[in-house]
Amino acid sequence: MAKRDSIKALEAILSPEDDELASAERTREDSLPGLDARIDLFLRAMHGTEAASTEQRENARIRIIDAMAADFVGEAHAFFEQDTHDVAAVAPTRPAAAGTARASSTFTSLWEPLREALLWPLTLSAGQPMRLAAVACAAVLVMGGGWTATWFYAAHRTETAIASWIDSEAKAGRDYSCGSRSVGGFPLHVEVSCTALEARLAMSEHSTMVISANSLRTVASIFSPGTYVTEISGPVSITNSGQSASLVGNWSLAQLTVRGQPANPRQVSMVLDNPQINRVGNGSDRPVLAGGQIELTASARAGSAINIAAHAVDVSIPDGGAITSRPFVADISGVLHDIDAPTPQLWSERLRDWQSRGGRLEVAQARIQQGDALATGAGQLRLSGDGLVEGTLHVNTSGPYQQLAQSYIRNGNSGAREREQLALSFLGDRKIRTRSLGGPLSDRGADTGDVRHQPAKQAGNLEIPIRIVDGTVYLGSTGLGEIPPLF
Amino acid sequence: MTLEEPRADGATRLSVLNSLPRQHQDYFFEAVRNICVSFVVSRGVPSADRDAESLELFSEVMAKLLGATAAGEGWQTKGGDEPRPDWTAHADPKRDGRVSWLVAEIGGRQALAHRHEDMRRRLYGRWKEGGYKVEQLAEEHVADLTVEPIDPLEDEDNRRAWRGLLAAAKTEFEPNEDVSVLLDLLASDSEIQAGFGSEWPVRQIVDTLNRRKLVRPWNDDRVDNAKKRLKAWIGRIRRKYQIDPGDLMHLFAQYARKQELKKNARA
Repeated sequence: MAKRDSIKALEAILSPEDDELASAERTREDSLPGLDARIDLFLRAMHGTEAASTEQRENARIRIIDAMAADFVGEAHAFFEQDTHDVAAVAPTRPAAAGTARASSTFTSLWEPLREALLWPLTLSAGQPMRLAAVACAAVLVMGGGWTATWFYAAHRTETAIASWIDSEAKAGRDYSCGSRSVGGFPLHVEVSCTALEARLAMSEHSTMVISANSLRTVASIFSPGTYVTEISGPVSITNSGQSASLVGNWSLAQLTVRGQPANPRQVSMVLDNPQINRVGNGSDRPVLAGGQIELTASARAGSAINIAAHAVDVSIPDGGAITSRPFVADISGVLHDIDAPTPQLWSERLRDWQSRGGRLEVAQARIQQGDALATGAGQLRLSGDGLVEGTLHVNTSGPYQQLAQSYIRNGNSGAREREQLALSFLGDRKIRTRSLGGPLSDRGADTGDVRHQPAKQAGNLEIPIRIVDGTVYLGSTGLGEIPPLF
Repeated sequence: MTLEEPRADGATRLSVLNSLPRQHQDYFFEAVRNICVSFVVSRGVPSADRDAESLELFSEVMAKLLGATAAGEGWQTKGGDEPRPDWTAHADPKRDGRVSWLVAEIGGRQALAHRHEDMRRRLYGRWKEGGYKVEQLAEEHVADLTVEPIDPLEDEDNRRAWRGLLAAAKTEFEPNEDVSVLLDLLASDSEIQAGFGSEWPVRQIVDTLNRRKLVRPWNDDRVDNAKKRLKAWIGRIRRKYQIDPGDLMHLFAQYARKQELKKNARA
């Protein structure tokens, strides 16, 4: 009976008065939705447009009231106060935020003695001989302190920018963690170092790529804010979930330069010196890519386009077919059109969205050269609804490439082995190096000239279309190979 | 924090969501759902568990968003002088500033890590000594960790609802205020509780309080005045969230339960 009375009293307290019922309608204009509207939103979020059952509705009601109660109590606040160790255990990849806190605490610990030192001359009387020396010391301390403060500010900005980038990457399913992490570089640079780096990149809902690197170091100069130069030390291994083989890469230098905020950069460029990438697994160790230097640059243009440029010198792709298995010099420049604003997305989703918007790659100029063999081309490429590359490149060939192309076309039904023999006969042995064509720009003096812009031997040029239909590459009507779907 | 004090961030997010056209809301739901999938994938969760865990995380994120309390008056920030975010409306949800802002607010790495942890606690208990507590199967933990509908006929739920009401009232009224004194009496005196019918037992309340020989005697007007203030406060909460008395009872019970959990965690 007492229980029933207790409920009765509680209901009397919580029930509305008659005059309240009339005013209830007025409050419906409030900016926050009422409980029923919240439940509707929750059900739509969870179940889409399908009608919710009574049970689902009741569960949603309980869930929302529970969340409201938690919000009243300020559970999230308590979470920050008490349970940072929990977060660390669950989310080990928040190094930047932790580093920022460390920097802030270090700054506080430095500032206190500095403030004491600066105030000390003021405690001496004007007639004391020590006064001048003390003031001079104080001036030095002020300058040093000012510079120190500037450095800490720059360090804070760098860490914030990196944290923001890590955050935006995490939203897209790309997670980065460090075995250990440190900040240094005082007084002229800010360096953020990370050893035993592991990146887990969700490529699609069912596929994750795991990249492990020995170490990574990002440097930002205090004098050029907004430019971040990152060096990655090999060996680096790349493993895709569900595949037993890994790609293992090493190089003499891998440098990534980002201009602008890392989460929304104006320009990204990468240089790889002497890369050697092998496919390792199942008892084999086969080279996939080897070469002198590769440079890649992407710059945002006005509107929704990105300029891209790639340059490879003395690079070979042993499994890439008759031509690219030999060392070559190559350049490509073009424009990626219809790029959307950067939002967190899996790569597969981003490509699918790009395709659905009618995105295309306009190849302004592509060029490959091996000795006297030269091919240049231009055209447009896009993706089909199945993620297959399609489009046409109009290619001009000269020298051995021209003869090779004609032979390919003549022997339209020839297989890979026959094509390899033809390539051997026209281009020579695979071991021929192309260094004589010119190294990367950075390796050569200004007066050497740029081989990329040397006019090709134009005599007897042959123009042929390279068509890509549903991922299959055709030279004229001769099939050369297939490109796997990109999503 | 009182029940009515603006909690700008959560309330602002919910206001923004509420202001979006339906198409934009649906796009937002889908975007957050995808972010949750990506987050779970990035955690290295076995593929067999990913769908369920992603959905659970998404449910946690949405519950947190939709459970925000107190009306925010437009954009408010802690400092008050931060620039207002870009809330440019656009017919295409992908280009709508409000949607982008909401996605960024909800789908941040840290925010998701917290929701993920909230979710795990709700399902498995608190993290302790290198693992989630396995003694969750003990009866008292199960009672705390599962969200069950409040049954007012259950003694404990009833007591919790009272405790929640008293605790919430403390955020609004001083302990020596008439409202607090009245409420304490109503919560603790079973004879007065039995006196409730279509009207409040005002006379009985006056007599009981006057038996305490207080300096300032109670009378009907004083009780009526305290009652009006109490009802006005409860009315504001109820109207603000358009919540009926049954749900309000549930809300106070959950409020008490959360406070108990918080207190236990501190202990």
